[in-house]
Amino acid sequence: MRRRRKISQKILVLLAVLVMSVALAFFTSLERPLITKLEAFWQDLLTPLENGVTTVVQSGKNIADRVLNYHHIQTENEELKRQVEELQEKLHLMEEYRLENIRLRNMVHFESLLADQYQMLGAKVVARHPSNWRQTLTINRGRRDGLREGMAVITPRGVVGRIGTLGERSAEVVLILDHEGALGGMIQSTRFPGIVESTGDRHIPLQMVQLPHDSPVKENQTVVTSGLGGIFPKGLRIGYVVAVQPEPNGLMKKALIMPFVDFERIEEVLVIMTEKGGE
Amino acid sequence: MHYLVLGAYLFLSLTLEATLFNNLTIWGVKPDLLLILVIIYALFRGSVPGAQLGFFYGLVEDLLLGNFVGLNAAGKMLVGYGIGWGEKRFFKDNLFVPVFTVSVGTVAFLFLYVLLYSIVSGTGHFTAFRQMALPLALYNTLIGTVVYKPLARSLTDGLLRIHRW
Repeated sequence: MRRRRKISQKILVLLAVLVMSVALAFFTSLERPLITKLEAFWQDLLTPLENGVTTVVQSGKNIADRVLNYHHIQTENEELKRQVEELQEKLHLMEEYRLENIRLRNMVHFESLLADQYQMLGAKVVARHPSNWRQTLTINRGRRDGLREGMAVITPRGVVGRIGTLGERSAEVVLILDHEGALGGMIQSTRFPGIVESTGDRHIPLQMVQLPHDSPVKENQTVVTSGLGGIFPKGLRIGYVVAVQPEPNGLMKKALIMPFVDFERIEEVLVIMTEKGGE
Repeated sequence: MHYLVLGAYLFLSLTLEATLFNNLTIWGVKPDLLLILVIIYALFRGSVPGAQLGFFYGLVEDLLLGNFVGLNAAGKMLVGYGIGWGEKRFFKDNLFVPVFTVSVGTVAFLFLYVLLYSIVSGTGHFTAFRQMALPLALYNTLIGTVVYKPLARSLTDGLLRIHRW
């Protein structure tokens, strides 16, 4: 009997606490702008602890992620490396196109400037002569495009050479640097003529030979084509005088000439097909 | 010492639930570490201590959440009281005991919580109960089974033993 009363008392207390709890929950269910001091106390007590554990957990998680995802990361890394290579290749190609565009624009501009004098055809350099002895280029235009032997080949910077042997779709250009590439030139300012030919020297590859010892040739003078010989039209730029030296016989002298065209980096050229009217 | 350990467990559990277990959820559910101790504590100490611990742990949890203060307290208190009923009736060395009590206690707690919440808020939330009951019961049972042996030892011979003079 006493035991049953004790259990009933316990249940009564339990019910009382339950009702109080629900009532408290009801009053705290509404949105409150501020929390009580007791709530703030608990929160302040736990926050530093939580902060510390979060830091440790986060570090652990990062390490675990790296270990667990190692295979995935490795695969991803390989994939990304492949993509980087692919993109670099594309970037390289884009840069090539950009530079080509600039060069072609210059060509077109140059061609339009000379449009009333010459009819020209653009060509791409596809190969260089494999031996050191010959100085020739191969271009992607040939007999089918109307090219003929001896036609002048130029760039906006200056004279390149003349068409040598011809194929149907390609042609060999004999450069003015070649020992077969001599041409008639003249000093632009004084109109003093001479033969421009190869020196065989890589550093200063051209020279104007057999100039009288009293000829008015000086450094930095521009040399252009004289039009003599019938291959190159008159007035095309060849190079500039870098030095004047006496010939071994002592009666004549020669001018060493640096060409305007950078033959190492030449990629596109213009072939002069016909001269309109001429000079 | 007994109360100190219970206090330490309280802080540790709340901290781990707020931090570590955010990354260790099962079907989006975190374990209720305090409930696990309330259940095992009640199993060894009986209804009244179980209800007392449940009420205290629940109240602290409620105070941290800020709204509906008293729901966790009431829920955990009732579960503690109910599980405590089995103190003298269960053979505690059997591992099936924690599996049974923790899973039933968890489902009962969740049901009570949702019931009280629905009464107080005026809207039913039994869909949440249906979605959470199974994963929470499984997760709590898993952890409860792992910590049961050390807790049981602590409650009978260790730091959680009550000294009777």
